[in-house]
Amino acid sequence: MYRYDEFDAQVVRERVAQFRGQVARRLAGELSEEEFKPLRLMNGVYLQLHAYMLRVAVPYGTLSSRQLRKLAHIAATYDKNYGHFTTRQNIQFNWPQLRDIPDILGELSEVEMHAIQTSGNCIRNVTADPFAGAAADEIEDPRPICELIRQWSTFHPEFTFLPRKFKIAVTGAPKDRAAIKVHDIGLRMHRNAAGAPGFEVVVGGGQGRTPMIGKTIRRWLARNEILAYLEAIMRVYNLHGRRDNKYKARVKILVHEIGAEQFAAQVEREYENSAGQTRKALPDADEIRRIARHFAPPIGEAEAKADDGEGAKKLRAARAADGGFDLWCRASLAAHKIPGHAIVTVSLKPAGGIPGDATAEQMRSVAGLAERFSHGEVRVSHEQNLVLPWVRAAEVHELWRGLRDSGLAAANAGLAGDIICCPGLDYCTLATARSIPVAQQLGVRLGGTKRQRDIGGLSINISGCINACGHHHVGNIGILGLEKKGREFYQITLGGSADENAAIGDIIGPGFAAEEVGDAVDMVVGTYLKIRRAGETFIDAYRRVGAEPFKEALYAA
Amino acid sequence: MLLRDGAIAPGDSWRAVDDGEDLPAGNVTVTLRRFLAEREQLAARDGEVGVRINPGEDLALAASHADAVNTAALVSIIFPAFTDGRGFSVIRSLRRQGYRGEIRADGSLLPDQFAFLRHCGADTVAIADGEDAQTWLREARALSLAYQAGYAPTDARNILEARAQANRATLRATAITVATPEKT
Ligand code: SF4
Repeated sequence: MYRYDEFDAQVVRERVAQFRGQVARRLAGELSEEEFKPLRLMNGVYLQLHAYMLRVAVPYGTLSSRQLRKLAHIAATYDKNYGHFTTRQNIQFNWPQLRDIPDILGELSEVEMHAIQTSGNCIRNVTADPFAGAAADEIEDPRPICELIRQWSTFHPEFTFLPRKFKIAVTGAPKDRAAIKVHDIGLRMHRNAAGAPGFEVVVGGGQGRTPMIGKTIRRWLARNEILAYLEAIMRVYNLHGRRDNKYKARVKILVHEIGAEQFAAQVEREYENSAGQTRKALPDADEIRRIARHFAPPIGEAEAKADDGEGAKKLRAARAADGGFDLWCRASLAAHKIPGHAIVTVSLKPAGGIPGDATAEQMRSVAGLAERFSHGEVRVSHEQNLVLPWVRAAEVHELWRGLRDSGLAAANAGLAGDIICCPGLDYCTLATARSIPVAQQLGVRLGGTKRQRDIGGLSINISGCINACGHHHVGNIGILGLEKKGREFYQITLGGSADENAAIGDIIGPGFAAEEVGDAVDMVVGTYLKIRRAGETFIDAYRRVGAEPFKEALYAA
Repeated sequence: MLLRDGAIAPGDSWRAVDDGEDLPAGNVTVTLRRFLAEREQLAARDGEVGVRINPGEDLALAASHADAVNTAALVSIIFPAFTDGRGFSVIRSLRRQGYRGEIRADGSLLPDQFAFLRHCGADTVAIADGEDAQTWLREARALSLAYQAGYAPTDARNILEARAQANRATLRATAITVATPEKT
């Protein structure tokens, strides 16, 4: 994991001191809410329905156990004992007092964390594959690039007052677990003809009221050119992105209006113009190596080589002996780069619970288990789950028992019960409908162990308004909460997907009342079960047959 | 009031002249349109000529007349709103196209933006009369470090340069140790 040097630490410390002064001026009445707003937004502080909300950055979803313990402490001390992990790999605290926020930020800085650029029209916290560095299918760990981007984008003098917020996602693997095609910029690592790793650059993806899949503007870009190239993209966007209408201000609209080719040409021109300056500029190779060294796997070569298959054997035996454990393994384990190891997903989706919420105790438990079983490292996924990336196969069973004791052993990662959901009308000022109760209801309905297994891989995403924080556009089943004449209703989309075959879901027909949504989703799932061929997942079946059979089931009667 | 290099600048000699208004003696700024249309008249008079660029209207024109803009003694960027950050890229682009004269940021701006403006390449900021210059000067120094290389130097220390320096120092130290034969 990256560790701050003296400079990184000082940047954050100074920011905390500055914000402490601003909060004091606000509390003393020297600043009006109007004047204070842009200042607090630059520090991740939102004013929500009932209270202030603080969004803390988890850069590219990587946390140390020490950081997770600090988050637990903050939840217990300054909040109502829980935190909410978001679809952008961040964590939100829903009930802090404004006067406490400088102290919270101070505490965060002790563990090299901050809330910088988690809101506002700037380059937001960069997100990445939660399995980065550990995934079997990965070409290279993308996190050194992510850390470079984090530093480069922090208080960028030119790009802090953009037309709109700006999100960058990075993956180092062919399997896209970072949803890069629905980000303002997505970077996908692959090898060029000569075998050198570099990035495909995808621009103009996004969700919200105008969902779009990003377009490739560069097939391959060398790793050491990333920052200069990003700078060119940002300059074109900053100068030409629309500022007349907030709903048309994201880069996706610019790319759409002038066309991906024209956009690419402008970026290339800008890049060529500045190349002389920036290609030679810092960060130099030494600095890039310095950052990369921090991300070396915590498992040494010797240990990796010494694997004799005993661990895997032990795991197989435990699975054979314990059906419940086996079910959990099927959902939760992913293939590791290093033999004898597994990547473990810890579902934050107990049936009937609030997706992504974790109590202080649960955070502490996961931190403790990470220390025992995962070299003290934890990840946050955009599915709002936690991940332990460095677990020995031989110890998975013991880890599972620990998780079960903390109520964290839901065997539903990647299945119907693994519902992705934004805070909705229970917290959010922008919401048009509640989303959490819908998730809870569906979690109970579809979350039966056998039922989920039977349904197989399925993503259900729920957003409480058109802003799509619950990523409903890219859910296999997407649910969007809306409001008409004071009543909540829910629009269903089908066929969305957030992976390397990213797709925006199709609106299937008129919406459903809150009490009808459960039946409607049941009907959709039932239709799939009826029409599927052997081994066919929901999304595959949908792509084969299209929307018709589902429409018929939902609306024909 | 004018702020330069993190301090209050002594008096301002420039007068902003509107389109169609008679040109007074002394240093004047004119709109980009007028600057391009009346180049000869402007050059023939006493006093220097600066140009005002409004990122909201003049982007294309400024880009296609970079050479002409480069001859101005002053370029004043008029920010239409503090949330409209186009001006930052305009300043940066001016420096990149080789403009060496004074760049001034004017219009709707926040104290927090002072440091960023200078980092992008602005020399001076014009603030409204009622504003507290001390707040601006304080905010300009609130952050003493910057990660971005290749931007104009300010009093903020550049982190990447500092790291590169530290790296070189370590290398030198290692080289010396290796080169000095041990006395036995
Ligand atoms: S999707 Fe809407 S309701 Fe949900 S968190 Fe985002 S803004 Fe709030």
